[in-house]
Amino acid sequence: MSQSKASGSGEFVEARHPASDQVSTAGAQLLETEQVRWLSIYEQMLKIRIFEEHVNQLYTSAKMPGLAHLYIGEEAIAVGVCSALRRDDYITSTHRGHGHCLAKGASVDRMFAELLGKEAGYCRGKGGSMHIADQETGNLGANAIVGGSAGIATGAAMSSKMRGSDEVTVCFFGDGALGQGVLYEVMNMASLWKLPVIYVCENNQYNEYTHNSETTAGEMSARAKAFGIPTEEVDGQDVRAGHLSR
Amino acid sequence: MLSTTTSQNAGQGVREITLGQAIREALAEEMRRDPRVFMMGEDIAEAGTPFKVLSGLVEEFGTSRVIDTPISEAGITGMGVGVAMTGMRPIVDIMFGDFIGLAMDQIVNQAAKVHYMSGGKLKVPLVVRTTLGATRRTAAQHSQSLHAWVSHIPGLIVVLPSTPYDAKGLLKTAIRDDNPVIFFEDKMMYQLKGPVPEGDYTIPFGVADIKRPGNDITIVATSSMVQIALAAADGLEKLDISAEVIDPRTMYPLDRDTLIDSAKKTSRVIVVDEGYERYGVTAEIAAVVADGAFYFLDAPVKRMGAMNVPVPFSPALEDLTVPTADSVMEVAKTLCGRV
Repeated sequence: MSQSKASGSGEFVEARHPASDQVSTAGAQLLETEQVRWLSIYEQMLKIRIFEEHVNQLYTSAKMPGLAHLYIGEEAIAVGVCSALRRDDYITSTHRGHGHCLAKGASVDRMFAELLGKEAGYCRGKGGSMHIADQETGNLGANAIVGGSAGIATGAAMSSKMRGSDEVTVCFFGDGALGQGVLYEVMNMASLWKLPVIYVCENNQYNEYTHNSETTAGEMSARAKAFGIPTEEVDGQDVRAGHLSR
Repeated sequence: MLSTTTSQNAGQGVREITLGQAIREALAEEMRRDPRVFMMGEDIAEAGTPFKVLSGLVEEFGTSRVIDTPISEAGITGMGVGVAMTGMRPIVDIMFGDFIGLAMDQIVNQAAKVHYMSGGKLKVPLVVRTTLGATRRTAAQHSQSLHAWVSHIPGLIVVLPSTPYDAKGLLKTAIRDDNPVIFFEDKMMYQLKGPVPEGDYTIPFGVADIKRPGNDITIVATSSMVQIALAAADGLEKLDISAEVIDPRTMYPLDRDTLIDSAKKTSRVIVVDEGYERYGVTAEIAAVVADGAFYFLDAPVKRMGAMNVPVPFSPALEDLTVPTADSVMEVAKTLCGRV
């Protein structure tokens, strides 16, 4: 499956991390997929891992100003999802967004330039680690307000529909964003108006420093289901599951 | 630049229409001109808003361009940002200015930041239309004038029209601008009539308008307070005090030069605005004037805003909270040494 086009209304994918009881659904489809494709997907995950290791080094040696939220351990989600997107499909990202940007096609040198506040960076040094945006690859920007890009992502999907385009928008957010009301406001409209948006909840179990068992009532996926949004839980450590979801 | 109250569009007919009709005309003309322009908000289609400003637009443009939304100010404003970033030109209707509190993150941290934060690559051509103004007897949560909040934020343009002519021309400029614009309409002025040319004209941002020339004192007034200032100027004329009334029209960009030039000419200045006086736009404008015309002033710059209380319901109480022509006259007389 090279294109993950949402048919109709928004979609909610909860990528769980670390792996628990999920069984990979890849199965038969996997056999048909070329080995070279999976190798390239592995390469992208490795690129993110090595990128983040360098970020960590720069940050801990005080060479990189500001904050560094590493994507290490979540690579499979960004790569699995973004490798199923077209270049002109949109994503919105989070404060922990380096992986999303790279997976959507951002170049390593301009990423580092931005992280170091240089003019050669994606945002000419005005955005930094938490705000990398790249129009060329459909990246509408990392967002340092938790849940802050939910409106932008859903609006982008509305725009695609109004313009008669078949672009899809993926809204990445963490389980912490489940505490933000605006997410539910826009999910409601996405479902109501059948917008081509996929909400990808990266459940790394922590809302900043606090475990989600202390913050999140009920079932996470039930929240999206309540709006009539097709919902799927996949293993966030299985890149094939993220890629093949829907 | 001085007065722009005359038509910039010679040859077209000029009619007397209301401020509400001028807004509707601007929206309709822009939606006809540009298929990317559309509106979304609560009760804007069949209902035409509770103020009936948008009545008839859904009949012409349909529900795909005049979109009724859930009661979700944050959601619709946030979606407006995303739609604007990806090739459309949305106009989001926030029924009462008081409700922008619900949308504040989307306005302040998203709309205002995207262009700068992306190194200038992404644009947000979003217009948020909302209302201000007290004395409608709608109490503390439907009567505030909160334009100072957004005027504080770099990345936002803030527009306060005070006449039908200005409303039409400024709204067209807002829709064509590539930056997020917050457009405040005085809900008590929708029935105010004034001359408006048929057809297309725009009014640039950052150009104040001298609503009435004078020599003895400058009254800087915004939105609803322009009519109050003009009434005060009429009263002052009978006392042989010649008042100049200036409407900045946009809080940002602010036409500092016109304000300072007038202050230098008259040497006395009052700033009148319906927002809360405390930390309000009157403070900013007074500081601009004091800084730019310091050696020309014969009296301290006076500020008059809404009383620093939640707007009360009781008409007797509410009327005391906002400047009136009489109260502006009294302050003007004092500044001119006439009391």
